[in-house]
Amino acid sequence: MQGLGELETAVMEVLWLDPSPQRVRDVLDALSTRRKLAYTTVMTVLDNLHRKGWVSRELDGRAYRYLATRSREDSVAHALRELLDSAEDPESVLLRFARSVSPRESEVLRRALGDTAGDQ
Amino acid sequence: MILAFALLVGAVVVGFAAPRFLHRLTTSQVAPAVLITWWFATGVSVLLTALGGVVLLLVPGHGPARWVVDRIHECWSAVTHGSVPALDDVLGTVGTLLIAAALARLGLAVFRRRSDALKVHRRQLSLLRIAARRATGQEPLMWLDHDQPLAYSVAGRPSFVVATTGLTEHLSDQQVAAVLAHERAHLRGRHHVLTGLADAAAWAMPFVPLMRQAPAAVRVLVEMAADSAAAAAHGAEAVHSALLRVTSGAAPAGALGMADNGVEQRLDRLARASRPKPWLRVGALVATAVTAPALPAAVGLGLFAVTSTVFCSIA
Repeated sequence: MQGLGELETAVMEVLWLDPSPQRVRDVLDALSTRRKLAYTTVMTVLDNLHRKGWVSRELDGRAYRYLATRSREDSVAHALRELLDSAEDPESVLLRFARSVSPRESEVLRRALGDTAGDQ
Repeated sequence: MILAFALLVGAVVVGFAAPRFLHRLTTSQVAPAVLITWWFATGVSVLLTALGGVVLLLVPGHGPARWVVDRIHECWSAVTHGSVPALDDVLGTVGTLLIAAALARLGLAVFRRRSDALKVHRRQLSLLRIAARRATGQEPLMWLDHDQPLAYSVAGRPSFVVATTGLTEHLSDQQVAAVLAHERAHLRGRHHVLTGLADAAAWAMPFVPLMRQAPAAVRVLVEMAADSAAAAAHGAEAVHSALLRVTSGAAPAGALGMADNGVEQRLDRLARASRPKPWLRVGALVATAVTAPALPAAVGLGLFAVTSTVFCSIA
């Protein structure tokens, strides 16, 4: 799964909020970014999103109408899965508090060391 | 020539023998920061001492103890039944090439590691934009909706900590605070840079045990350093119990990392945690700064002194 840049996220938010096919003009009007974006900027962002497979488009007259290819829930679940996998990667450059162990292994560890917390 | 050999021998001996002693210290009460300094100072001094040795070999007219050199040459030729043509030149050239290759590999490894880290940082951010809620406040903290208690830190611009909601469900407030303090300590202490450098050194010089074993050792030590930072703020008890809770999360199959992360050693250290004395720590750091750089040279010269005494008494 390809991740999203700052502007791409903002545009996807708009498409997720209103699932009907939208023109570049509609997206631009609905965008709530700090500075006002140019029409061509939004068009380029939508074009990139289309190339990455995040949106599909259909020709309506002379302009394209865009819509998200998958729901926000689905996208969040996918991104979450990849993030969790990356956190478990032994070769990762991330530093994590502790890698997960199975409940049985942790039980052995807990017994061996004596769980000072006591409860649970 | 004698000095050069003493330096080279010292570098080899320390490069091979030092990890044994450093590993033993990991389970002691010596502060992790001091031990991390030891690993890096020893690594750098082994490299520089070896470099000094080969440079001395190539410098013409070196070495005051000319007659000892002659003795060794005589000795050598007696063994090999022939003359030894410019042994030091050969050794010096080979040594220089080896060290130049090692340094070039080190540079390449650091560069690669850095670009990998940049890629991971960019990818993490691009996924977190979709999946995470950014906590309000000045500390960059990303929350993921997930039941498994988990926390990790990503270095870069900006650096940030990622934590799961499972953390707040399974842990007490104080334990959560301890975990987050632990992750922030990683970022503040530039621990990602330290592990990266250790990885690069191991990749560049895998034939030196000191370099080869550095990544695993430094990984455990930075975890210990972050633990003690968290313990200083929220108590060793909170870190200790949090460590047990986080490791008890429902894990994907095959994800056993106790040995990799030194969880057992960390728990042991936290259980025995005593109040760190600041003056003791400063003293240890100063001692490290003085001792570690001189270690290979001292070992080499010491060995030479002993062997030459023995030789003299025989001859």
